[in-house]
Amino acid sequence: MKADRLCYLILTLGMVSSASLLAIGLALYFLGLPYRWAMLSGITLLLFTPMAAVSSTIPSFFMEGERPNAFVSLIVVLFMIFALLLSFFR
Amino acid sequence: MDFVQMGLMLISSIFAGFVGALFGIGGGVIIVPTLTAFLGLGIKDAIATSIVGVVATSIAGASRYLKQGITNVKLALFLETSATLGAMSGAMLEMVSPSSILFMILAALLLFMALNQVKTFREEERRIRSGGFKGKGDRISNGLRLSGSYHDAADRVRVEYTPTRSKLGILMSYFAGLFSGLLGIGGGVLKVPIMNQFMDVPMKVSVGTSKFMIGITASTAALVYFSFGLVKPELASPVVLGVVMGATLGAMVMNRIKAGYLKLAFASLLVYFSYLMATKGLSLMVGA
Repeated sequence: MKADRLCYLILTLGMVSSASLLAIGLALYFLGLPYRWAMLSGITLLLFTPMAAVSSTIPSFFMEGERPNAFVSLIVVLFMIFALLLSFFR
Repeated sequence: MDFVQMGLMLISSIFAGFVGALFGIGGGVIIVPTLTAFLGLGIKDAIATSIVGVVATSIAGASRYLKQGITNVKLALFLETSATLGAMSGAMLEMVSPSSILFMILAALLLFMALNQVKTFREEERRIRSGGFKGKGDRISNGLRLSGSYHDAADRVRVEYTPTRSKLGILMSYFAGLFSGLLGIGGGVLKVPIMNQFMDVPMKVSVGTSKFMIGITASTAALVYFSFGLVKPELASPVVLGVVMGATLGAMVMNRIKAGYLKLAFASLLVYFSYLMATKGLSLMVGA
């Protein structure tokens, strides 16, 4: 599958599923029922969506024969992981 | 949080998401003051909530722009390599740099970019109609196949483009990331003019591509806030839902606006950001 199409699918899936979980969480909040599980799952899903989208482009570019772009995607993912680690240990 | 507060958060977030999608920015500049001034949140809670909202507006906007063929994923990833590196350097230099001078430099740079947007707004529309964005490109843009095309809904033409001056673009992206890490501003307001003015990328593609890039940078920062327990889900939920609605709407409208008008509106936004940076810089100078 083309990288653009794959990114679109992952972003859309991430957005719809996280927004649904957050909406469920808000409804539970106003009904006075346990709600944190839904909100926390929604936020977790939302925050990992961009990394999932970028990671998906690596095999996609590779299979399309665009190795330099696969390498660029790999660098971005590595930088994201490095930035996360750096923030934790600052 | 009651229904009235949630309603206020939802409305301001819809507006932030809409503006963010229209101009390729995160929208934090709208979310943070609303949460602090109107809802009485502390600045730390507001920033943590806002950064989650920025990720949401980016995902919602970018997915719509990808569907319309406006976002250039290869260009976004290419520029993101140096932008992330710049943001990391900025965060590390934060402690030792004189922020007041940096704020003033950024204010001047934003004003320069705003003037340039005004100067070139007619040219953008002429080039869209005449196929003027299709050039030879350079070694990097040709090697990475960064060129692309999109359908301009306002002018009803297919616009083909080839990014140029890739080395300058990646260098400027580094500085955009650096300023963003140093001064805590979102990168979108710099990324859009870098692509449009320096790399010869059409305005709408710059907006769509910037929208995708913002999510990559902001998600890393948001994950840190989230893992340290600084994000309050009760506050983040209505903001995320609001910005998703606003960004989806904004992304549907953007391609229907004439590129020239979009540039003029973006220039106004740049002037506003320039004013914000200048006042921050001046207040720091007076405070020091």
